[in-house]
Formats: sequence, structure tokens, C-alpha cells
Amino acid sequence: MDNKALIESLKNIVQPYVQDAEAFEQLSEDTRFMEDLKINSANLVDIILDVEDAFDIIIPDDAMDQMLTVKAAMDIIKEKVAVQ
Amino acid sequence: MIGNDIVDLAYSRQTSNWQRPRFLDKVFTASEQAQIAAAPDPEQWVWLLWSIKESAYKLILRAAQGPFFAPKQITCEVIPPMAGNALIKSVVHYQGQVYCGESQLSASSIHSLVYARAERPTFSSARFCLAQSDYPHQGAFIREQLLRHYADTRQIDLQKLAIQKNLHGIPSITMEGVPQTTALSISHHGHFAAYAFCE
Repeated sequence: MDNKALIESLKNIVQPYVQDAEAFEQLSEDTRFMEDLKINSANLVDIILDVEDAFDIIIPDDAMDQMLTVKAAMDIIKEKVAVQ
Repeated sequence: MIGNDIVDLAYSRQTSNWQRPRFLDKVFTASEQAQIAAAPDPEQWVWLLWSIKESAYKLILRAAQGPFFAPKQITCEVIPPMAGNALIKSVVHYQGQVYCGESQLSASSIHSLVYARAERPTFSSARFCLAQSDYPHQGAFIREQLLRHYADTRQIDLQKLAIQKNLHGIPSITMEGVPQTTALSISHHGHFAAYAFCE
């Protein structure tokens, strides 16, 4: 999956939880889920579960630890999908 | 040092589904899940333990290298007995450090505070129910309330005070632009907002 398609998938996944529309418009790899998109931390759990469901992967706790930005999420997805 | 977190229970019901498959496993240890299952009101217990973890995280973040998301590493245990709506106390562990939690429950909200166990700090705290719940309004409101309270307790001109956040989202009070060492914590969720700051 190329990066552009992956970012689009992630945008669709996070969109329901975003509380800063402007930051969402400007979403890039560096965008942070909590500080920039103002996603509350309970919904970060939902994003992780939604990503697991969408890509049919399991994200273990030690990977989840740093899944705080768009880029981190992309890296984890690429790593876990490649293993299958 | 102090961390606080407030949960609007009605808002949680609208925006989260704690019964979603694997949700509890991502957030709570086996022991915590057992506490939840045994509670008279499991939903309330989920958000109680959640607010204690969040409060502890805000405190831990001040000394950490950067933000992280590891709710199962911050473990909590509520101390019995709890009677009705009285203060609920808990013990929290993270990487060998021990913290104390104090939580207030109501039908509509849960407000938790966490501090390092070594010494209970002297602190000021307040919580509010807001008519408007949009994110920017909540944030501006609670910051203003905190600064007013701070200005009152220290006899400082409110106009000289502001709140800034650092790179990791940790807030501090500035006086005439100079950051103060006062430990503080701010939380807002749905229609509720709260803060705590140390003397």
C-alpha cells in the first residue's frame, strides 16, 4: 500500500474523533493525534482498535505505546501488514 | 506535583463504547478488569479507573521523555471501603513509583486527582459544569477560572497571568511572560472542566 493511500485510510479512521477541524484539514505525517487533532485519549483506544480491524492486524502494547502521530501509525501498520 | 482528570459520563456514553471488543484489554490489566466486573456499576468503574490513570499520566508526563500511551503500565487499585459518594482513594503504580489517587463520583461526572505518595501536596482544585461543551470554549473557560483562583490566592494582578503549554502539552502559568514553577493540571471533557494547582 502506498503512503498516499495509507494516509487517506487513516484520515477516514480518525475523522469521527477529531476535535480540531483546521488541524485535520492540514493533516500530515507529523500530525499528532492528541495535541494537534485534539482527539481525547479514550478515542485513541478506538483508533487503535479501528486500525486493527481495518488492516486485520494486532497492535501489541509496546507498539501502541508510541502510536501518537500519523507517521507512527503508518509505520506500525506497514510493519504489521508486511508480517502477514 | 499533581494530575487531575474529569469525565463527563453522559459524554462518554455518546463518544465511547467501553464494551467494544478488545477495548478493556487495551486499557486495563486483568486485576483491574476483575475490579470492573465485580463493581455494582461496571461502567462507572471503567471511567473511575480511567480518570485515575489519566491523572497519573499527566503527572508522570512532566518527568517523562515525551508523551506515551501505555494505560496498562499505570496500574490502579481502589482502596476499600467506599461509602456512597464519599471520596474514593486509590493506589497507583508506574515503573516502581507509587502515587495516591482521590476521586469524587457523582451521577454525572467523575473527578480524580493523583499525587506522589511521599507527600500529599497542599493544593487548590475546582470543577465546573459548563453550559457549552465545545472544545475551544471549555479550554478558555477553565484556564480563566484557574488564573482567577491563582491570582486570588497569591494576591497577583490577573492581567499579568497567562497559561502556556510546552511541546508535550504540559501547561504552566506565566507571570509577565515568565513561567512559574507552580504545578498545575487542567482537564475538560463534555460539559465538565476541572483544574488543580499546588501551593
